[in-house]
Amino acid sequence: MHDVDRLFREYHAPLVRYLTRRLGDRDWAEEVAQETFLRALRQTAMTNERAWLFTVATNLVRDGARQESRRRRHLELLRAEEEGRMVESPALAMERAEDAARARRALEQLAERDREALLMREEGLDYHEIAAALDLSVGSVGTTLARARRRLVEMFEGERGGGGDKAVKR
Amino acid sequence: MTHIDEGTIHAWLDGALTPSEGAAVEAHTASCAQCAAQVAEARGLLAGASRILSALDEVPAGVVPVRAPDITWAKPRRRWLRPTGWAVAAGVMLAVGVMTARRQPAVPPAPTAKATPQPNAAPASSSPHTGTLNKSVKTQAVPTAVGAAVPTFGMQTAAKSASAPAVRDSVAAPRAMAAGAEEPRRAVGLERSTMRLDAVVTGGAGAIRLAKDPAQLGVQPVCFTDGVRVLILDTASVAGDDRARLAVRDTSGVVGEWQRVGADSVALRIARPVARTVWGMMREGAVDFSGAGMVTASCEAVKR
Repeated sequence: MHDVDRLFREYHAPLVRYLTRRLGDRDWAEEVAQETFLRALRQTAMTNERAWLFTVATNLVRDGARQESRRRRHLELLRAEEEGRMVESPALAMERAEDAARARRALEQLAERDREALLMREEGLDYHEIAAALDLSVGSVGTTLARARRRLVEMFEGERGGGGDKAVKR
Repeated sequence: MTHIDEGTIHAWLDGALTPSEGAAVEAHTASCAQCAAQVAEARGLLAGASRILSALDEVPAGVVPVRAPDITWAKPRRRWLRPTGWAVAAGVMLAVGVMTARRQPAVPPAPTAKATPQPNAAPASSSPHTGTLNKSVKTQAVPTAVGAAVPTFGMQTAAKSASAPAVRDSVAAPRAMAAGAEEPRRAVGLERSTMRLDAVVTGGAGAIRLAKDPAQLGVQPVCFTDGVRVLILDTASVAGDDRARLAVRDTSGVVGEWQRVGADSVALRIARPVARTVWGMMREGAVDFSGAGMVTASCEAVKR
């Protein structure tokens, strides 16, 4: 067994954040992170541990994509519960929740690889690590991120303009 | 003069260019209004994208409900989001017995009629190497007949849920339990509580699959207790090795280990300073069994 303790301490938080942003489900993200660390246990050597962890996590997400519809229903259910509870919540909380929903919808508009590159970058992975994780050339990471950022911002702003029906939900 | 492409600008802003490349970009933008505007825009996109993504971090709080008031199997895993009370009380000894299969004619592993067995569970009753099924469970650490008199936490049971409290729907369960519909043993201040887990060992290095409900197979996380998750850190073959053990350690460094118990079972023992104890299991634990067949795990929390 290698240094999983240290790996866990060092990378659990960014990995879970990455996965949560990617999946929109903290529980699911935790599961995938757990599975990732389990696999790390069985791995004898890693040249770049952070890239390795993010790669495995990303692949696990892709493998599990077919479960997504079921998950989504689950999430919708929870969200509905939450919205029911949020009736009396402060307007600010509503606004934040709306922002989150809008951000998620915008993120979903990105191509998968663009989305993953962007989320990895947000967790501090450098271009080499992102390239390794997503099987890109290092030279194309900048282009990928530029496209991802632009589209994300555009989609988010577009949501802001067009998502009025959701924004007024009470 | 060639303008700088957007990807290079982003790479520059991300600090991904070599010093000489960076200097070239800088020099160019100093004398090219168009590229300077591009850089300004790219800065805006960087900041904007970060801000938008950070809004996603609101999602767990907004989407994932707070923990159900009762300790149930159905929703406790959200608890770790608010790991406040795990250190509340005195030591709790947790024992989990994992019993390996006893050979007997195949019986479908899924306990409920409505339940569609998880893909990996299905072969357990049909494939040649999984024609075994656990039939009785005894946990060395605990005298109670597991799954008979003691309420389960809605876990799938190999011994058929007909003889055990019903497997509940994951969403409905908290309410049902809160209403005392089935008089579940509460984990708060519990003397003893048991739940059963089923697992399918799919081969020599079989994955242990555990879930509360066949329909939920594959979605349950690792063992955890009140806000502190347990990460399985080490594995060893169980069969045929008396010293075999599976060490577990949670994120706060509490260590437990699987110990071989008797001829065909292992127990997980963890000393934990918690009053509230909730068990979950990995959907794919790293338990290494030789031989195939059903495995049933019994978790029991016993207050010291």
